[in-house]
Amino acid sequence: MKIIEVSHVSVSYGRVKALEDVSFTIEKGAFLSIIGPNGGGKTTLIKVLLGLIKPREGSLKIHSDKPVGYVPQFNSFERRFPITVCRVVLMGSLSGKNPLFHRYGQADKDRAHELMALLGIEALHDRQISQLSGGQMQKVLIARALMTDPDVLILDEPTSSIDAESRTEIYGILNKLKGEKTIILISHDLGSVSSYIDAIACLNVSLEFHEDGKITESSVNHIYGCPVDLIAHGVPHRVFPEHPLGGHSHD
Amino acid sequence: MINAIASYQFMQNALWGAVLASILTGIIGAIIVEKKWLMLSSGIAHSSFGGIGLGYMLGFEPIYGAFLFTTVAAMLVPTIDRKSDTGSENLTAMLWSFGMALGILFIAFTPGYPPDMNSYLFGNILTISKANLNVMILVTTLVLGVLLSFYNIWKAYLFDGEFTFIMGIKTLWMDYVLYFLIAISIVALIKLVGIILIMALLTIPPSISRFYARSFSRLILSSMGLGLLFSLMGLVVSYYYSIPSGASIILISVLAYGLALVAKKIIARR
Ligand SMILES: Nc1ncnc2c1ncn2[C@@H]1O[C@H](COP(=O)(O)OP(=O)(O)O)[C@@H](O)[C@H]1O
Ligand SMILES: [Mg+2]
Repeated sequence: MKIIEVSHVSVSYGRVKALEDVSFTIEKGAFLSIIGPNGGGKTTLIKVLLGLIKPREGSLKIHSDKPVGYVPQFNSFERRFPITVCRVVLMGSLSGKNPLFHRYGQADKDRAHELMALLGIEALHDRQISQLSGGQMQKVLIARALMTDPDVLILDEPTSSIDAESRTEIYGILNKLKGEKTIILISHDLGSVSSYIDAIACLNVSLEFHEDGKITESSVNHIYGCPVDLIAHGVPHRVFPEHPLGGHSHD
Repeated sequence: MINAIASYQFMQNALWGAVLASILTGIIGAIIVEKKWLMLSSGIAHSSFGGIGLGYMLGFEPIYGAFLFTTVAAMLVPTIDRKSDTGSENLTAMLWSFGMALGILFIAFTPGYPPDMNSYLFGNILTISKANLNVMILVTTLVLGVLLSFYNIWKAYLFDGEFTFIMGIKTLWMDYVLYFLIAISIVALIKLVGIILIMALLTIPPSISRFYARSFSRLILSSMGLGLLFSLMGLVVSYYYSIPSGASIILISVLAYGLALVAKKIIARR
């Protein structure tokens, strides 16, 4: 069953074309990774999926009655806001239907604790978010996104600018959620995710979709222009011929 | 001074004015500082000059003109910003100067002696009237009512507006409501500290409170407390030394910020 259907979506900011005729579908429970150069339109595509940007052309459907779980890119919220970890996670349970003078209930608090435990950030419960490391902050944002138990989870570069250990932990968590949730992950480190993903899309204004999760060196070269090491954070470019990325087959 | 408060209406008004002003500046200031809407707020404040001029020219209460101008400015900036790529800072700067230019024009057309604009530009807590106080009570009630009834959602919105939108909350409305509340709050405060000095009263208490506040509500409460302290101290200085109250309040606030900064550095070093 398809959970996300995007057809012929184009977006521009003034004269800058960010997305051009992008179409793809995602199966329920699939794990899709989107790669592409900086400025390739990855964040824009996600914002279209979230309804934050209305596409100039094209349409999209998300077959879910719950809000999408969203883990934003690092620079998109007030990092210095005076608030504790627990309160940020709780925010994930807000909705347009909250009554006047709404307060978080015990069920919300229990769920927040459960998720903080799942992500290993219980101890940070009362910590100010301005005092968190990059990896800790990412886990807080993932917990917040999971509060509504979403069908779809979208993560925008959750592992850029965090240490290797947290990165592994975050991929471990995503791997646990795999199957239960449809996951879209924007990431530069193909090497780390290639064993989990079902499909991969290369986005550089236009989108090239690889349903089987296989990506060839030539299509990477095509998307990135020549310098492949643009994406090669931790993935030495020479590994391509030897270990085709995403080279596991699921049969 | 205690005798003066007991026996003079103007001193009682000043005192009530300080209390109401600190509630308003505490809330609005915390929002402005967290959202970094300083330019926008300052632009809205200055655009009120046009409305004040209009009031003088046509012979109605200038503060009503100020409400009109600031509200229009506060609605125009985000609306035009969405429809053009000029950028909200540039739009704000334009409305800022445009409002002031209109004010100067209107005052030039005002028959008779030119009115004294100083009380609007610099404010005077010792001259606020019962009517001013009523306006402040109305605005404070409105601001408190709107913010408290959806407090959790406002907080989420201020922290991360995009996420709040995705949760299914109508954040476009929240933008406009917030800009409107900022606009009317600024007008309600004009008589007290004036158009030019208002930004200091809005930003200094939250800037100090941020050193230690661990939640948004504490940031607001602490800003209210500091705002009240500075206003009262300013009032005392203003009363005894016949200094305009706007200036004395701001000077005390800046001084306090300096002390807080030094104190923070010393504590951090220990
Ligand atoms: N708010 C915006 N206004 C104007 N241009 C933008 C805006 N956001 C992104 N862009 C432009 O759109 C293109 C795609 O950006 P983005 O989606 O952020 O790319 P990515 O996330 O892949 O790095 C870039 O050229 C960027 O400069
Ligand atoms: Mg991006």
